Amino acid sequence: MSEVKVTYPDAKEFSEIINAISALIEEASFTLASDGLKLRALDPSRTAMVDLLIPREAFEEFPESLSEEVRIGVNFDDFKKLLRRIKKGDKIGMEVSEGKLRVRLIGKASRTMTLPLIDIGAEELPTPKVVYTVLAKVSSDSLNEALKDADVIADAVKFDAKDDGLYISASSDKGDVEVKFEKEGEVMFEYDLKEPATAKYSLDYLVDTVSKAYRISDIVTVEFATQKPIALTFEIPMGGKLTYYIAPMIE
Amino acid sequence: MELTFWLLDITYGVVGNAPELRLFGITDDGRRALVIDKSFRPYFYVLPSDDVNTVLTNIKRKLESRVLGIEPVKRRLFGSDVDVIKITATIPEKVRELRELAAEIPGVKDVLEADIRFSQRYLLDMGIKPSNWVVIDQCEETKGNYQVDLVCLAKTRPRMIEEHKLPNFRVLALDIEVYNPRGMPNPDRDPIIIISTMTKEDGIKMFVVDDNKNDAKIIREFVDYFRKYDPDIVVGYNNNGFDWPYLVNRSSRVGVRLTLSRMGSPPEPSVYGHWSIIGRANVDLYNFIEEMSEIKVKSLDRAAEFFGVMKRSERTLIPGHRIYEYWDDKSKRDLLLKYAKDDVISTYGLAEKLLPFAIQLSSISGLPLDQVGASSVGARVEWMIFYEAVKRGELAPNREERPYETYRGAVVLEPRPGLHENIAVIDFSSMYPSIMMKYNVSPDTLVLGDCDDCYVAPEVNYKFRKSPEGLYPGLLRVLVESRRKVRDLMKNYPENSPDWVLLNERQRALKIMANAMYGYCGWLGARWYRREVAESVTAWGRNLLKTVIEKARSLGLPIIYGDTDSLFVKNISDKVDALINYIDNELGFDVKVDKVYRRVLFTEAKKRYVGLTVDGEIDIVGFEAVRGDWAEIAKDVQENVAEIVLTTGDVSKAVAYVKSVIDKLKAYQFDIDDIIIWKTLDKSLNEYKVLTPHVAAAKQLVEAGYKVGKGDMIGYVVVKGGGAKLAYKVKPYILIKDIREVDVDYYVEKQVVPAAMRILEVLGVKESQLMEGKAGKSILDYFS
Repeated sequence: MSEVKVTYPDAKEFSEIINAISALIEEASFTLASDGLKLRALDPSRTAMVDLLIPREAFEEFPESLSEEVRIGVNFDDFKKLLRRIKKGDKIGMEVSEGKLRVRLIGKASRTMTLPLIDIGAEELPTPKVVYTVLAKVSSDSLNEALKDADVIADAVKFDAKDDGLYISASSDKGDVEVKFEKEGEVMFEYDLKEPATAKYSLDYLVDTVSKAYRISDIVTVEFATQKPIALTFEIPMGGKLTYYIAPMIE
Repeated sequence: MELTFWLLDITYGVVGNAPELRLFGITDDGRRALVIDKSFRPYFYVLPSDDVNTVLTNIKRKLESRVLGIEPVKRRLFGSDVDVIKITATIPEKVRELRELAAEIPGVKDVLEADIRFSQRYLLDMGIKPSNWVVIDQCEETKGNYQVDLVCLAKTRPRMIEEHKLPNFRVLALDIEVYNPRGMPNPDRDPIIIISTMTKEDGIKMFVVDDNKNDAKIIREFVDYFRKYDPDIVVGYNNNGFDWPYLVNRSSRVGVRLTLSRMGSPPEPSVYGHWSIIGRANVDLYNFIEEMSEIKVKSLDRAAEFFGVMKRSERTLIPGHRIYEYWDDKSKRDLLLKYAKDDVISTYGLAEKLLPFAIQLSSISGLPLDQVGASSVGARVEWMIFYEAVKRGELAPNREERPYETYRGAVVLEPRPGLHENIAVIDFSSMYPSIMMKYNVSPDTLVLGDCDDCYVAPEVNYKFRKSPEGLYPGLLRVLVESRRKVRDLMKNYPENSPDWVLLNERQRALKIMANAMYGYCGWLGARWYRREVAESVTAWGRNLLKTVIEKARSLGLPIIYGDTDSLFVKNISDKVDALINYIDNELGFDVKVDKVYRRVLFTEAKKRYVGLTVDGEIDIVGFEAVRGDWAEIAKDVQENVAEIVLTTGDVSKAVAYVKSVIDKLKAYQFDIDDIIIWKTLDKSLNEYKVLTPHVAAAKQLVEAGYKVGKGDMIGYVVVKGGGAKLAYKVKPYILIKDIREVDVDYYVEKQVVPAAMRILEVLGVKESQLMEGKAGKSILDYFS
């Protein structure tokens, strides 16, 4: 395999993306394809899936042509530790060669570190085909707060889409929480309700993911339907996105 | 005086410059006797390549002053007459040196039979086998410092008589428990805390240390008791692997002489890895359990349950590696004592079930009772052949290192995958001895050139002389005839009476030894190995099985699977009967329905199936139920899945069971003992080039101050974090403080699910069906 090299202009942003993925995944393979850098992986319990696309346009440097897709298998714990070394204003370069991932942090000085590539059995994951009846674009920060509030009380949270807005609620013997995202409210940017829906999801997954991913983007797109998975999409500059799909809890 | 005794053990010693054979036994009037025979000397043969007289002169010139005799004799080698030179030495210890000298002499092609143990040589030449009654017509009483009632010097050659009755043995079961705070106990450091024995006369005796764990005291008490009881047969479970080496090493560490043998010497390691106690037979029952494929998990408690000695549910069970905890915690100590007691009762009970067969195996093969279990099946058959060969003047070829070679084996049909109901298994295993007798197949009847009066094997076209009768067919005929006689004798006794049981064990051993002859033909380690013999027997066997399969098809009897010497067919009784009649009457071979499966499950793989017999027993064949790197939980899951599928026929019940196991794992509701993976270090730590999980765990133990080395069993658990390679994710179980350290996902994905899928995959279950948690289905289920 010949050497492949990419450079992303904002190392900090990149590390936040990695951080957000690592909320669910211990190890997974990136795929470097002609249209960009992608990753699709399930968490070990297979309850949730993460789907990432960083288009080639978002990179400062990207291979002109790729004869075949390049798989970059990494352990996210190790990768994360390495990315802690990022300084403000750094760019990040990545090179794959001979079973190693060379990561260059380019700032005032350029530092190179390497990670071993790991071979991860490739499981072909399907593209999600779910019909959602609700789409809401809300402030990612507010959603994060709402979920954290719920987490104080319970293990699971209910999403209710009504005509007047989106209700996020939780209850247990410790008490009740309800947060309302009002239609046309200050933190609700778009609300498309095809039919009212209600579904319950595990807070384990929601809190872990949103508390990290909200740093990537100010707006999160929430899509769900009754007894269907929830999709949370965070946008990345130049048309990229990071989406989590989480299975509902069936009562 | 004339002495008749049952030969229990044989050994030899050198007194002055002469060897003496020491035959220990029990006389017909119940006295423990030692017969000494000083009349026999070791010898070996030299095969000349040139003229025998020239070589004889050469040998005399070189060796005459160092040996007792050099004489030309006529023998046979692979059925052909040969002139060989017999060289008789003074003492056994000289044979090695002499055979090397002889091999260098000009004109010497080969040195034969120079590697036979002296006591075994004696038995072969006298034609007497251990575990039989032997008569010495004139035996002169003498004195000696031995723990026996009678010592005498043989003045005539011993001879064997045919008598099936057994003497009244004194049998002692032995089991020790050792203090093991650091996992694998080490005799330099860890004391023995309990020695338990059981005998018919004295019942259970337990020698338990005091709180200071002073084991020198209890070992002394044990030795005194042992000598006083004076057992003929000592039984244990894995005593060759553990109890004896530990007792011997520990005794020398604490300075107690283990004077247990009838000559006052300690037990010592001997051939086939067994421990010998001179004058007694030390039998390791584990050796026999090890050979039984129907017992999957070969622990004492499981074996005892299998034989109906003691139910696991009715006994105390303690994980072996926690014995020290049960000792240290005084509130639990009674449990440990109960456990030790149950172990020794189980051992004694197993001995009652297994010894009768072991004795018959010894008496037929010619291997002493203490060696017969530890030896391989090949070795047992070989000794039996050796006796027959000596009788015929046929020389034993030397054991050779042979490169592994393959030849077309038996017929193995592609199984029909899936769950089948009501299946009969037709057993052809006694077909091979019949083929060998019918076509006189033997290494000494094989003709490589032209032959007018020969049987010719199909496909491979090897030729075998029709007469005289070969070594193997001759021996088989003796076995078959003996078995018929024994079965006739059995009719004189009521079923299950002691005499009947004894004869039944004998006819069973005779049958097993006859059927084992075929396996011996193909064993590369065999002295009499001839590839042509093995190939011809399988060729005839294949031919026969094909004929039978065609007949089954023409009868419209569906065949599910066939392997070597068995055929799995739909159990349609009139058609099965018709097939068996055809094989009996038209092909002239004796077959029977070996078992009937109520349900049997086949995968695509050959030699791999699970079945439930009509008697409610479950056979698991070829699955990894006993794979080394599987934790107990994976083995249990596989067994239980097989059982649920086979007994209920309901796959969804098995799926639900696996899911419940997974849920419990994920909720950390499991016992740490169930998830320990055990593996033996088979090299010393620094010899390992690759960091495997058990090596990584062993290194952690060393760092924590434990002593581990070659031969130790390392028990580790897979924990969270650490990295991608499994070796970075392991931890010795003794270092686990919190069960939440355990990487339950690993156990779900790499142990439980694969173990269950081996069976469930064939039934169309998908891995994802097992993985769905209670919290929701897998996300993938919503994407399709």
